[in-house]
Amino acid sequence: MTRGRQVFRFPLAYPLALGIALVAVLPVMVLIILAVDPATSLDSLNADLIINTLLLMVITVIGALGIGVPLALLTAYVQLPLGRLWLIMLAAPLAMPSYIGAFTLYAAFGSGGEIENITGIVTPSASGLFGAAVVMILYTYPFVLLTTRASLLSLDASLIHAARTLGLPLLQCLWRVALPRAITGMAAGGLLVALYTLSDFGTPAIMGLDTFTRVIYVEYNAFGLSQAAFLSLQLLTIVGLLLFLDSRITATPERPGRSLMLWPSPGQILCLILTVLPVIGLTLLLPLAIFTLWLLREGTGGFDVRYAWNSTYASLLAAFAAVLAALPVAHVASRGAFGRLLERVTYFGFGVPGIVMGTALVYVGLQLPALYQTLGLLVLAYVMRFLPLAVGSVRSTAEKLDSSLVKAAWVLGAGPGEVFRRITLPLSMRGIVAGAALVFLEGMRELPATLLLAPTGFETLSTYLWRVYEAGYFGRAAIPGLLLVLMSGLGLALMFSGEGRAEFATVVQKTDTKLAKK
Amino acid sequence: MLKVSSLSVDYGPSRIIHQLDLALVEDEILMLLGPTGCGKTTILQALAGLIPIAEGTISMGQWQASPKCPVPPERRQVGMVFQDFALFPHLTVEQNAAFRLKNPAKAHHWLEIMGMSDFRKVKPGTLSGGQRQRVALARTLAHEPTYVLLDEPLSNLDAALKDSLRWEIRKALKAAAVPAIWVTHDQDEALSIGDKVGILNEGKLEQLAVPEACFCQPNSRFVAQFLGEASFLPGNLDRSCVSTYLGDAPVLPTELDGGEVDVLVRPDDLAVEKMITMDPDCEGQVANSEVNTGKFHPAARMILADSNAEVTEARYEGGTWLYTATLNIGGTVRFRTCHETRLVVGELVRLSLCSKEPLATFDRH
Repeated sequence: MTRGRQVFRFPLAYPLALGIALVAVLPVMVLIILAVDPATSLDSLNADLIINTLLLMVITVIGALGIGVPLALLTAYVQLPLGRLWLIMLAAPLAMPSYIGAFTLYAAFGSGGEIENITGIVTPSASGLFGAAVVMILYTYPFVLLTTRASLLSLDASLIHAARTLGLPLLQCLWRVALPRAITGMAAGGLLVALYTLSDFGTPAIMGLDTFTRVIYVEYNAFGLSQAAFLSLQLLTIVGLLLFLDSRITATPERPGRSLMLWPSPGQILCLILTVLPVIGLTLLLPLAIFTLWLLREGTGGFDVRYAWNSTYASLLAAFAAVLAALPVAHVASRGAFGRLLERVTYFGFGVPGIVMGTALVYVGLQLPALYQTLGLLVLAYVMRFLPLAVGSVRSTAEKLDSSLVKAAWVLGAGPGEVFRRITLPLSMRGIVAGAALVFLEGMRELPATLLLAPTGFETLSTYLWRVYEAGYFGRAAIPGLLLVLMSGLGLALMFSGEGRAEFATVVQKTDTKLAKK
Repeated sequence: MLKVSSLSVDYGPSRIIHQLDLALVEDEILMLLGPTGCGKTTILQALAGLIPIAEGTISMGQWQASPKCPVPPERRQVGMVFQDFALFPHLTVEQNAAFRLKNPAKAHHWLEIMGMSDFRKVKPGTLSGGQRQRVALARTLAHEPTYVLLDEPLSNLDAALKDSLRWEIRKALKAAAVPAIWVTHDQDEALSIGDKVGILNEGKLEQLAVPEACFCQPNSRFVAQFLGEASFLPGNLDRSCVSTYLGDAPVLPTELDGGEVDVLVRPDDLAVEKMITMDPDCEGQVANSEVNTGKFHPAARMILADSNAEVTEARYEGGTWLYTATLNIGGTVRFRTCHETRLVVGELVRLSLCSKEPLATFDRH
């Protein structure tokens, strides 16, 4: 009886996951149909495009690892005063749309920039490959920080203690003993950075760097739909390569234990904080300062509260739908090779740039008039793009679930549905909340797909900001900019408190008492 | 000589270790014993330099560490053996043992002594727990530490292995001729292995002495109860002798100057007399039923007059029995008999103090 339950525990998961994976490849199908138009041709721009795109990606990944890994060590192991605050401040750029950073950095630096206007000091201008790389690094390093930190925290301290007592200095211990075992976390973070950089539209567009996304947008606006699709397919090839690399990475299981704690002296604390402040200054304080400056200078002209509500509403719907879709995919992914393949397929959406997803879904909408110009199509675009965030988050907590807990529940007489509802679900809640928050944050800051898919009159914060930028009225960006920063901050707070509330121990305790009462 | 003076350690706002004083010479092995959460591991981490200290000093040979000038672990020449072995999973046994050595001869030497030479080329993952701990000890000693810290090295191993491995470790430490502090929560381990035993309670060292002294002359009730079975019997102290409900016995020199005291009674200090041979079919019922109904059989009357306790619990230990008995005046004591003397729960017995050794006394609250 119990064996039978085990086999048929989640009968719906496979067909559900298969269906979701099929929807996820929909844009690729559409693109192939569009791209086989005979009118498309390779031109000279193409080589430059590939070089620019790859260069930006490589520089960004190296830079993000360079900043993210030391900060991960710092936030994971070093006991700083107000420890959690530093983590939240350092992770906050994740919640900020990178085009906000690009926008404000572009406006602040260079001759005629706001810094020169105020202080009279001429700063080098932030534009082109240099400007785009700096912005991308500053707004993607939190991916590396969070994934690497999670890996580092899962390491038991005793190996590092052993190396230290055998005479290895601390920094070498971290380098030789801790970091090699956190390589999975770093690789996962690096992959997210690479995928994000490839698909980011706003930053290269503002910095004037011709990458795939920018040129695709140009082609789309020039009604070169098939040329845009052809470029998109090239971009997807690079994405596929990255996903292949990611699949080669396997994590070695770590024994649970207490992680390392380091107590620095007051002098060291000061040094550490001084090295961290420039990062916080550039990513958080500079945009806030610039928007505040514009607000004071130009007021709130032209802004409507509905823009903010529209952004939140669409993102919440997307977060809810993405988590629902992620549950069966995450479940089958931890069950076998076929499930893992299905999971890989859903990853494609994250690599499909928003502008490309927008193009593909506009085409789909034209074929299915019931969907055209509806909010549903926009939410679908969000879910398809950000599903991997939810899947990855749900899967990683579900995999940590001790299988003996599930067996214990069976032995106590719980059926499959009850086991899922009372054991698997509450214990995966941490991953579900984190996944939903990630999708929400991404939805809030999504720009290109929203530009193309939002129903007429459905203006969101990001699209309004873009129109202000295109029109050159920088000052009007103050309110939507500040609100985007603020709402992202709220989303981030939500994510961190959710993580805190669903602490594994308390959940286990609650589950135990519930089962005991029964 | 490893010297620790008034060491205190804080964790956040709370003090974990209070004013610890220790000194170890040459190849002395100190067993630190205490209940879970008493700060044993914290002391080891402080001695290794892995956590900062709040007060006091630690010195060994060339260096001295204090809160103001900490000495990092890599400059202490400390050896540490961990409960979970802490072998580097990506290195072979040989590479582990020679982790920081330019010349691997020492590593080979200690692997040989620990009987692990045949496993030089394998990764730790394929070894059993006992083998891993042997490798971990070989690694520690091969790096020629000036003192060794062992953090419950045997607690992850099964009982049969513990007994033999603890002696192997003791021999290896003596061969290396280094002072060692060995943390454990196993009192048998502490009493049999240690040159000295220190008993910790809530971050304070209650007693630090040779094992026999800790066991026979505990200087607090906590120590007495923590090491072995202990019962406390009220008595009247008169110079070097105490008289109790169960008879008289000599006592250890004490600062108490007579009057009412509690005497520490170990199970072996008590002799038992069976009052009547029971019929196996009605064990324990003769006396009980009649006491309860108040109708005394003539034989039972005699039993009641002479017995002074009733057996309430019997625990078989293999070879011996450990009994708990409730005294007629209230309170309980424990005593042991060889397996031939079988008592049953409910049986009335006569207990008497038979200790020739002086007993420890404590002020009655």
